[in-house]
Amino acid sequence: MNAPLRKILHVEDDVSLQRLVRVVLEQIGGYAVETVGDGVRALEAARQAVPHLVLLDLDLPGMSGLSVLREMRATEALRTVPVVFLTAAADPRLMDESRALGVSEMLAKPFRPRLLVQSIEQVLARHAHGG
Amino acid sequence: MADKKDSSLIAERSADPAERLAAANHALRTPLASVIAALELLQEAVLSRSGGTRQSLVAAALENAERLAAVVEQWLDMERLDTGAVPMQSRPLELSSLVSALVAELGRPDRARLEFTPPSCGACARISGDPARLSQALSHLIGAASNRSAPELPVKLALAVSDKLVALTIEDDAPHPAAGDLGLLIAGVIVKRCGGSLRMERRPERGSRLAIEFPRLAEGA
Repeated sequence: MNAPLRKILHVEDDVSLQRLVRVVLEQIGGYAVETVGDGVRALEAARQAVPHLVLLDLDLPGMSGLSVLREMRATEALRTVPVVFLTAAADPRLMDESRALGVSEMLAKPFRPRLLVQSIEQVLARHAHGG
Repeated sequence: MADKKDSSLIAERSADPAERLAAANHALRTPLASVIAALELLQEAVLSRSGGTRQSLVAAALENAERLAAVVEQWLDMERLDTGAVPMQSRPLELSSLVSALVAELGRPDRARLEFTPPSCGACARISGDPARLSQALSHLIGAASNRSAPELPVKLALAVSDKLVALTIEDDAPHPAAGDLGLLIAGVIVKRCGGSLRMERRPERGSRLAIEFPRLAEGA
């Protein structure tokens, strides 16, 4: 029997990028992907079914990616879920704050699909080994 | 939310190089990410299993290349306006008529309802401005508020007139927009070049209010 697919929650407000990242993660990475368009829905989805990893945009309508990460770290069930930022933002203060909140990786847009999958694999491997 | 500005004069933000850079950064990198992802997926031919098709990836690359072209055009437009390379064709105009026409044009059944309250004094909202450029600015502001809002939440527009000022407000109850709205910065530059001001205020959790003010033209001007 096949092992269940690892689930990635992708949070992105750009519809075109949502579709493409889903193809990348499902077809290159072999993950199960759930996609939501804003931070509030991301927290709802994560609380409902805890994902193996959250791939999160920083600039989101309403609640920013940083606020989502902060909220996750304050929620018992989501405290240790690895978070990877995939972002166009380049503000060093945001980077510092994200690291302080324990973000696992920060990837810049535009990204190369294979490198995205490799980075996610590395984060999941580190997490599995307690890193 | 502490990481969003609560109130700001858009013309000041338009003039701030860091703000422009942040807006361009977001506006350019997101569609560029889609173009690169679509092309790399096509190159890798990973589509033998279910999911995307070659046609949908080509369509995504094209659509996002067009978005990139539009962003470049917006950016150039802002520079031309800001440096005065494009002259404003200002003339006296009645703002209430302009806003009414835009509301009729932009209202769609699948989008948030646009509710416009004209001034009680009738056709008294006379200002000086470039009608085409003001239409461009207001279309963007009204359209963006409508697009962000859920269909059941109206976008409220109101025009008020005092002795010296004509004030238009656009209020929505939608989530705050993400960064990277070059159209907002361009609107700030256009309003400023028409002698007015554009301010955006955000309520703490959700909902924004745009306040646009122009000097009122005297009767017969």
